[in-house]
Order: sequence, then C-alpha cells, then structure tokens
Amino acid sequence: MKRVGVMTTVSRFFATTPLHIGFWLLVKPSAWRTALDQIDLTLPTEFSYLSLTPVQRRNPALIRFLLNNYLLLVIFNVAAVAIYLSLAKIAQPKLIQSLWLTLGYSLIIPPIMSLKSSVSSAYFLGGTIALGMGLLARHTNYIYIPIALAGGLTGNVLLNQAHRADRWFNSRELAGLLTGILAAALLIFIGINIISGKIFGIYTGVPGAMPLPVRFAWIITTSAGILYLLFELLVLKSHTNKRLIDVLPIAALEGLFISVSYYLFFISVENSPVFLLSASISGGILICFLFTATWQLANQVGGPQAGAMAASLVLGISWVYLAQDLVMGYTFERVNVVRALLVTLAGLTFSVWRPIVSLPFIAIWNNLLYTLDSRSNVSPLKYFKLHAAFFEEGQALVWPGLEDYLILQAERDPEGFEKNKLKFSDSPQRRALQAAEIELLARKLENCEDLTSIADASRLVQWNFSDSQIATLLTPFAHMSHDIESALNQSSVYQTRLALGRVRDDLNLFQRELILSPQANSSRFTRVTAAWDRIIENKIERLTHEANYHHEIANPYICGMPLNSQQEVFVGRTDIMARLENLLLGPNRPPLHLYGQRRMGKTSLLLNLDHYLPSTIISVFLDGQGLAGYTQLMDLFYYMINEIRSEAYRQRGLRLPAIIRQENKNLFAHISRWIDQTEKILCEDGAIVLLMMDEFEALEPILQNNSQMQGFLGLARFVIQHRPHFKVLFVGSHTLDEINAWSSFLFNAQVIKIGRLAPTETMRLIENPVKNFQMTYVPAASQHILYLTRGHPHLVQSICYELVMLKNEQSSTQRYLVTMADAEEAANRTLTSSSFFFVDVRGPQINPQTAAMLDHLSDLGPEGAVSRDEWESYFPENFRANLALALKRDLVEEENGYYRFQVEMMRRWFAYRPF
Amino acid sequence: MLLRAIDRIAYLENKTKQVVYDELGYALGRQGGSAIQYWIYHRRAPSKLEDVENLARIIARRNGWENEVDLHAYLEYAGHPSADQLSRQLMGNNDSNHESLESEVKPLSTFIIGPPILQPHLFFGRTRELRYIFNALNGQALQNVAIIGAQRSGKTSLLHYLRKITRTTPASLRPNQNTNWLAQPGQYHWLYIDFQDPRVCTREGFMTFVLRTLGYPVPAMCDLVQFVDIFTRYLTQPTVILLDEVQIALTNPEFTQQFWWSLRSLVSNLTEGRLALILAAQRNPAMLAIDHGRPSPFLNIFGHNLTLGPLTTEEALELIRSSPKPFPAADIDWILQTSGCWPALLQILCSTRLVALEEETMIDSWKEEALANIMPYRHLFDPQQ
Repeated sequence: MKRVGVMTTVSRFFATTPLHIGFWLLVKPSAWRTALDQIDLTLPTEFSYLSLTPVQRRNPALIRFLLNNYLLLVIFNVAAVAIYLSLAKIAQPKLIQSLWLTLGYSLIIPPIMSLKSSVSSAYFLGGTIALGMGLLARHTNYIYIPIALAGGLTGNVLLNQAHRADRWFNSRELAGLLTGILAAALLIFIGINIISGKIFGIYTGVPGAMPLPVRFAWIITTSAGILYLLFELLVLKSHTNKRLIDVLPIAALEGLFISVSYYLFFISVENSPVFLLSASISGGILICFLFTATWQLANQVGGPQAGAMAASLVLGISWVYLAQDLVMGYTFERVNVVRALLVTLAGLTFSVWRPIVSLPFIAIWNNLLYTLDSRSNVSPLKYFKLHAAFFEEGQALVWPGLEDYLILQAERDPEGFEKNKLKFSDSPQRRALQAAEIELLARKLENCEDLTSIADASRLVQWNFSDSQIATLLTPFAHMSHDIESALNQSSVYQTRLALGRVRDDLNLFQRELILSPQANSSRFTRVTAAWDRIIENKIERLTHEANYHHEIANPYICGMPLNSQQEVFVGRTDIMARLENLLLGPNRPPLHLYGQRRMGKTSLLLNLDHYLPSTIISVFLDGQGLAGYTQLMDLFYYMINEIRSEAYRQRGLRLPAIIRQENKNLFAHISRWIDQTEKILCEDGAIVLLMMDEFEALEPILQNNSQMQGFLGLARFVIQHRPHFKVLFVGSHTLDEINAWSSFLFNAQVIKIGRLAPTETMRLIENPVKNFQMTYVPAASQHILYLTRGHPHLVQSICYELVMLKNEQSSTQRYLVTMADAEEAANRTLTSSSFFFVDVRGPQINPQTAAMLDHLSDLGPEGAVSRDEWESYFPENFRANLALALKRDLVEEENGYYRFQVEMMRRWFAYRPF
Repeated sequence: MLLRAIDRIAYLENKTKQVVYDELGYALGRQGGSAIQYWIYHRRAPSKLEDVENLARIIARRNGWENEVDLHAYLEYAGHPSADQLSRQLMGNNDSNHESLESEVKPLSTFIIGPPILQPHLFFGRTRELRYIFNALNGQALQNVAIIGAQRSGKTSLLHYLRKITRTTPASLRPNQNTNWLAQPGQYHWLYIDFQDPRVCTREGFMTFVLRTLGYPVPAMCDLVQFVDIFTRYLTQPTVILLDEVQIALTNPEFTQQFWWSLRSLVSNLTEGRLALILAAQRNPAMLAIDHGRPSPFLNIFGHNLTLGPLTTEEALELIRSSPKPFPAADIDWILQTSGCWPALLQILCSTRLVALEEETMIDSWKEEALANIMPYRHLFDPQQ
C-alpha cells in the first residue's frame, strides 16, 4: 500500500513537467488551458502570481503546481547541461562553472517572472536562458543568443495568448511598441552607467576587472539596488494596480537581492561558486526587469501585442550592448545586433513558421501512423491519437490524409469518430472532417444494395447540412429516397413501377445536373446516382417481368383528350401529313381547311404535326375555343402575334419584331406593317409560319360585326395571297355551308378531310399501341374491334381502354389474352362510358328526323341495309335533306343503292337508345 | 432558404433550376429569372413587400417550402411585418387537407343519414369506380371523368372521398382501406366546387373562387382571358377540379358558351395534361346540354362516363358489418334485399336497426320505421335512373 502511495505521488509529480508546459504553450495552447482548469477554473490563461486574487493565490494546487515545476525546471536544466557537457567531454572545472551559472539563472528567473510578469513566460525565459548560459559559458561572444532566443520565444507565447500572432500592427500598437523600446533604451542607458560605475568615475573599462575596492563596490551596488527599487516600484504598481506601499516590500526585496548579489559579484574571486552564482542571479534579475518593465510599459500604451513584441526586441537586442559592461571576454561586434535581431524575430514568429517548416516531416509521421493503423485491423485505432491533428494546434492547413484517417476511424470506431467530430468542429481541420463526412455519406448512399436500403437512407442519413452547397447536393437524394419509400408502399405493382419510373427520370435529370455542376463534390455523387440508377433499373425490369405474368396491364389509351407528341398512342395520319407538307411547300397559296368529324383526331394531328414537317416550318397552334374569351379584336391579334414570336424563337431561335399596342391607329394597317417586317425576316431565314387555327368557328362571336369580320378576313386573304411565308390552316368540324360567315373566304380553300384510320393503322393501335404492350389478341378479337369501330380513332381508344380495364379485373391466367367475348364486353361498356360522345352525335349534330331514320336503320341489326326508296317510304318528310345530313356526318354510307351504318358501334348506339 | 425552395421545385417538377428561376421571375412580372438569381447569390430579399409576398405565395403553391419554418424564416429575413400569419396562411392553404387529415382522430363508426360522407373511413364501396377514376388520373396526361347518378346515389360523397383518400394517413382509416391509388399523391392539387354554392353561381365568382383556392393571383376584375392566362402560367402540378352538381352550371345563363369553350381549351390544350375535371351530375349532362342548347364540345372532353349504381353485395356487407353492434343474419339479409345495396338506403336501414338494437326493441317494428324512412328515396329503384 505504501509503495502504491509513493508511486502515485511520483506520477502526480511528473504529470506536468516544464517540458509539457513548454510544448503546450508553443504547440498546443488548449492543453495549457486544460491544465489550468484542473487547478482552478477562474485562473486566467496568462497570469502572474501577484495579479491573482488572495483566494486564487492560496490555492494549494496552484502552489504545488508552481513549486513542482520550479523544482523540476531547475533539476532539468542542471541535468541537461551536465549531460551535454559531459558528453562533449568538457573539462571538469569548466563544466562546474557552467553548472553554477545554469543553477543561478534557473533559481532566479522563474520565481521572479512568475511573481510579477507571467507564469507561462517564466518557464520559457528561465529554461532557455539557464540552458543557453550553461551551454555557451565557454563562448562568451555568443552569450546574447540564448537571451535573444528566450526573448523571442517568450514574446511568441505571449502573442499566442493574446491571439495576435498573425496580425499586423495598428497605430496604437505601434505607438506602444516604440514607447516601450525608447523607454527601455533610456532605462538601460541610466542603469548601465550606474552598475558599470561610470557615473561614479570608477569605470574599469573591462567587465570583471575585479575585485573592486569594497567602498566602490558598496557605492555601485547600493545605487543599483536603489535604482532598481524605484523602477520596480513603478512597474509593480502598474502591473498590480496596488498602492506603492503595498508593492514596496517586494520591490525592496528585489532591490536588496540585486545589491547583495552584485556586491558579492564584485568582491568574490573570479569563477568561484559565489562569483558565478551572484553573477547569474544579478544577471537574471536584470533580464527579468528589462523584459517586465518594457512589456509593462508597452502593454499600457499599445496593448498586449505591443508589450510582447517590445519586450522581446529589447531583451533580445539590448544584451548585445549590455554584455560589453557585464560579461567578461565579450567583444562587441555590429553584426551581433543583426544576429540578435534575427534570432529574436525567429523566436517571436515561431508559431508562424513552425507549422510550415514542420509540415512535411509531420505529414510523413502522420502517414506512417495511418499505414500502421490501416494494416493492423485493430479497433479502436491504436495510433491515431498520435496524429498531429491532436497536438498541433497552430497548423492552419488541413493535414494531408486526415480525411482518409477519419474515414478509417468512422468505419472501425464510430464512437471515437463522433468524439473527434466535436474536437475538430471548430479547428482548421474542420474541412477534413467535412470532406470525411461527405465521403462517408456518399459511401453510405453508394453502398445501398437494394431499394429498401435506399428508402431507408432518408431515415438513417443525417441530411441537415448547414452548408447550402452540400445541402443543395444532398436534398435531391433525400427526396428520391422518400419517393422510393413511397413507391415501395404502393399497393399495386403497376403503381410501384410507375412511381419508380418517375424516380428514375428524376435521377437521370439530377445526374445530368451533377455532371454539369461546378461543385467540387458533384463528381463523387455521380457515382451514387449511377449506383442507384442500376438498382432502380433492375427493379423496374424485374417488376415488368413479373407483371408480364402476374400483374396489371398499364393502360396506354387516352379518351377525350388530344394526344400530344409525348404520347406514344398517336398512330397513322402520315398520308394527311404528307399532303399538308406538299401544300405548304408548293407554289400555290390557297387557304387550307382541315375538316373532320368530332373526335376524329384533328387536334391530335395538329399537336403532332411539327414532328413530321420540315424544321423550316414554324407551326403555331391556336385554339379558337381558348381565344373565345377575347372581346376585342385588337387583343386577339396581339395575342396571336406574341404566340408567333414565341414559337419562332422556340423552334428556330428566330427573333421576330415586337408589336407595340397603338390604341388610336388603324389596327389592320398596324398589323400589316408587322407582317411586312416579319415576312422579310422569314424570307431571309427561309422559314414559313404555319398558323393552325383549331376550332376556328369559335372566333365568330369576336368578329360580331360585319366590318370587323370583313376586315379580319380581308387581312387573312391578303396575307395568304401576298405573304408566301405565312400559311394558315383552318381546322374545324363544320362544312362550308355550315359556316356562312367564313364561306366567302374559304370557298377556294384546299380542303383536307381527316377521316377514320386505315385498317393497318387501326390494328397497330389495337395490338401494339406502345412498345412492349402486354396484351395479345386472338385474331378474331382484334378484327372484331376493327369491325366495330372501322378505324374511328375515338372509338378504338375507348374500346381498348375499357378492354384493359376489363382484363385487369380478370385473373392473371386470363389477363393477357383478349378473346372475342372480352372485345364484345368492352364494346358494351363503351356504350355507357362514352355516352357523351354518342349523345353528341345523336343530338346536336343531326336533327330529330334524321335521328328517327337512323333509329329505324339501326333496328335492322348488324350489317342491316335499306334501299333509298324503302327508307323514304318510312320517312318521306325532308328525306333528301335528312339523308344528306346523315351522309355528311359520316354516319351512313351507300353501297349498291343500299344504305347502312358506316360504323357498327354507331348502329349499336342508335339501337341502344338509352335516353 | 430561397435556394433550397427553388431546388425543391426543380426536383419536384423535373426542371432545371434555371427554368424555375425564369418561371418565378415571369410569375413576378419580370423579364426572366435574373432578379431571383440576384436575390439568391447576394443573399438578399426582394425590396418590395409585394414581391416578398408574391414570391412566398408562388413558391408555396409549387410546394417549394419544405415546411412552415422555412417559409417563416424567409419572410422574417425579408422583413415581412406579419411573417407568422402569412406563413401559417400559406402553408395551411397549401396543404390544408393533408394537415387536417393527418391530425384527424378517427371517431367511432356510425351510420350517416342525409349529409354526404366527408370522413374517408366512413365511406364504403365503389372500388370499381375508384379504380376507374384513379386510372384516368394516373397517366402521363390526366383524363376527365363524368360521374352520373341519381339523387342520393352517393356522388358528392364519392367526390369528397376522391379528394381526400390519397392523402389520408392509414391510422385514420379502416384496416385494408386502400390509399395508394396515385403514384405521387403529394403532387396533386384538388379543388372541390359545388355549383349549389352561391359564391360560384356567377362566372366571375367561379373564376375568383378557383384562382383564390388554388393560391393563384386574383385580379381585381377577373375576365375569361385573364382567368385562362393566369391558369396557364401558374398551373405546374397535376390539378383535379371536382365539379359537383354541374347541371346547375350548364343551365345557368351566366356560364356562356365562351366560358365552356375556354374551360375545354384549358383542359385539353393549354395545360399539357396537368388539369383534369371530374364532374358529377344527376342525369347525363350531354342530354342536358342538348335540352338547353349548351355546347356539347365541352362535354366531349369527358372520355369516361361512370354511372353510379348500387354497391356490390360484398361492399354492402362491409358497410353493414361496420356497425358497432352486430346485426342478426336475418336482418342483414333483409337490409340487403330492401336497400337494393344503394348506399344511402343501407345507411338508413342500418342506422334504424342499430337504434333498435341499442334500445333493445325485440319486435320487428324497426322494419316498419326503416321502410318509412327510405320512402323518399324510392326513386333509386326506378329503372330509368
């Protein structure tokens, strides 16, 4: 037990040594702060014993700390000098002399500096000077070097504590610096004249030309003591803010100390222990005074940075001069001033150049540690704690390879990594931490093995990055992860596939953005998107494969809405498109009139036209019904012109002139001018504007009065005839005799009729509406749909839509093959689901007499036909006109004198008569 | 905040950020997205309060704000005087259905007589119809559906169910009630319009109501051209407008032919398949349109018509079995037979039976009472309906 107790005491004694303190103060200031916190949390980082409160001063831990380290410093200095000089085989008398000097400086500087200046500087000044004096005792010409180095390093420590080592001076600090240096020069001048005896006329000219007569020694040493007392009083008062009477005992004690030691120095035998001790003690006191007085004065005027620099420079350079009068065997040379200045500056800027100079060496060290740790497979990492990131706090650059080391730790020792995250979060190594975090996140995302793990990523991964660039990069991943989770939660495979398809599209879009992005981490995350893309693609393929055998059929058909160029189910019409192209590019310039029954696919044709026409044709789609809200012709024109300009720019990058509203001018003349200007541009570009006016009849209410109508049509006629780069395509479901207002304009129009699809086109729409369509037909079934619809696009779409819905209700064994019964059931359902279409045919498009005629014809059954005479005999009233109407609406056709329904589904509707 | 919101919009709408900048710029009445980019890169906010508000609104409507906190932070940063109120209003409006549904506490199942069913967990049946309608709403281009059904056939309840079901949390529903009808339900905006509502009885009232409810700018005097223009520019996400009692509008002279034409053009050509109409009417509106000389081309866009009939027997049984007190088998048979599986009649009969059970009436007098209760709805059995 007793032995354990002794060991504990010893280990506590050596827990903090002056070597530790020196290392902390220069390289790792936070450890110094931690050590102080363990003693007393209220201790300032930089303090002197006198500046503390009585409570702080009485703290036994502090006293123990100071005494331990004082003792250890003395022992260390003496031992170091002894070992070095012994190894250097220095003669014993010289060695002993050096040891006495080291002992003297070690004994005097630390307590005085700790008492009145600062504890941290005490160790540097005491340690460096004591070692330097001991080691260079034989080379008196270089005696100023350890002092300059001590001054520089101490200044550096003080600068670090003031957090100003890397900042330029401001004017106040410059004033403080100059004040400190000048005042110190004055002090030195006065002091040296006294202590060298010059002022008393007893100057020997040679330092150490002793012993002096006792009375002279008394005069010099007493004067030096009194002068020191006076100056020290001022310094201490300024430092402690106490009354003169309070600091008098300490100043008097120091004055007495310097008088006595100086006196002993004068009267003792040269190189005797007393001589050496007294020389080092009085020298030490002088050094402390010079440093403290300068520091205090400059600090008062210019702040801590000025104080630290002034004190360093004064101490570093002054000894070059002082040594002439105080050191035996020293010869002054001008070059010594430069050397001293360089050494001082080197010490002063130690924390600036040290990280740079040491970087390659420490980097090699770090790399060695990494290699050892990465090879050992030990967890937690064995050597990482020795990495410079943990001790080198002055390094502003990110340690090369730290990012990899952190990643290694995160993989082997996540808890340790979390602790280090806190440690590095406010250090310059934060960037390595960030890079490691991003890399870990990228790996986590990249390592997702399946969709479930991607979906889980949104919950497991911390997305809240404060850096907006990284957040921008990661947010899409978070959203996609959410979407995949949502896709996996879908109730049907079809929905899942659909949702995954959308995520894949999002992912591809994001991948393109990443490739183009200038952000540093973009390329890293493209690997993640590629990995996710593979997983999603595989899943979609798998689902598609499964769906082919077990699950629902995606319904590609669209009813009631025009098909735009995005929709695959638009088929056929190539003959009409070719004809349109010929007419548009041909030399004749008639107006074009595309005519067809409702739901025959006119609008779909227009919306798909620009894919088929040459790129020189700028197609502009205008929906007459969408323009029906305009009440002023002027507004309508301006809207149309803006549409033309916008499409010209979108399709060909052509900038057409703008038009400015001019309320009071002749509208048509104004528009004509714009057309003229535009025509020139179109001519130069070789382009043609094709105005496609869908449902043009709806414009009639705007052209309510005859003059407007005539003006509008006149302008249209003029444009068509004389402006070859403008073409107009009127599209509607009425024949000329039904649109009186337009008939005079369109009477010479080139009419293109859009009718039903050709049988091959119809079969393609039924059997292969989209790629990889899953349904197959028994031949009779698809033929039956062709028979029922005879290529009417709306009816084909409607029956096929119902068919897919019907098949999805059936079991998976029946689902993929369409039979006659299925086609028939779908057709029956269509009669109800497309009732609006049928009602429109039977209602507004024909009159009641024609409807009655058709009812009669429908009752004759499939393929039922009636001769003209027989039919007329049943419905004699207006028979000819009514028959013409039925023929015009493409409801019936004549064959060999007999009339029958063109489309079986139409016949069924007339026979059905639900209303 | 702004950058994150734009990034979110770009992601949600499959667009590049530059396109979103431009769209937002145009929506604010500027020549492009340069102002938005300037605010983002210089970490500024619009100097005009009007721009601050409009930008917040537009982004909220396009689901750009991840949450209310983000929006609030933006408004505060921009120095908006009532950031609290506006952020609550915008985010509340943006996702009002969702919020209310998320927090909805599922009450005990009871039978509802009279008003339409507004709580999804009390809605039964119509699986085929739901499948049909959502199939039409799930494709690349939304398609329009017309629902025709007699009075009390459950049209309004079905419309409300459509509006709510995809965004209701499973905790607020019965077990096995399907919510995953749409691939990306969060992207859809839903708007219910009842033409019996006096606010939408006029053309301007209708347009103002629609624009305001969808969070689009509402001009002081809204005409048809402005309505179409605003709708075209602002509609970016799938939007479904549910038009209830449409026969009232079709017979209302306020809604002119131009109005229906514009609506048709908006749905079929101007919104690139992002807008769908689902209408409900008591009789085939095409017939109604003929009777009143209304435009049939508008109704032509409804490629899918559904006629609401009775529930299937399984669906009716599910409704009956939702009673907190189980009914005797004989009573269940009687209810099925008497109601013809019409949901409104099932609700009445089940409610009457439940009351009798709770009052512990032993005799079959509840049947007489039940038959009396369903008398007003005998028209449902009329084959012409």
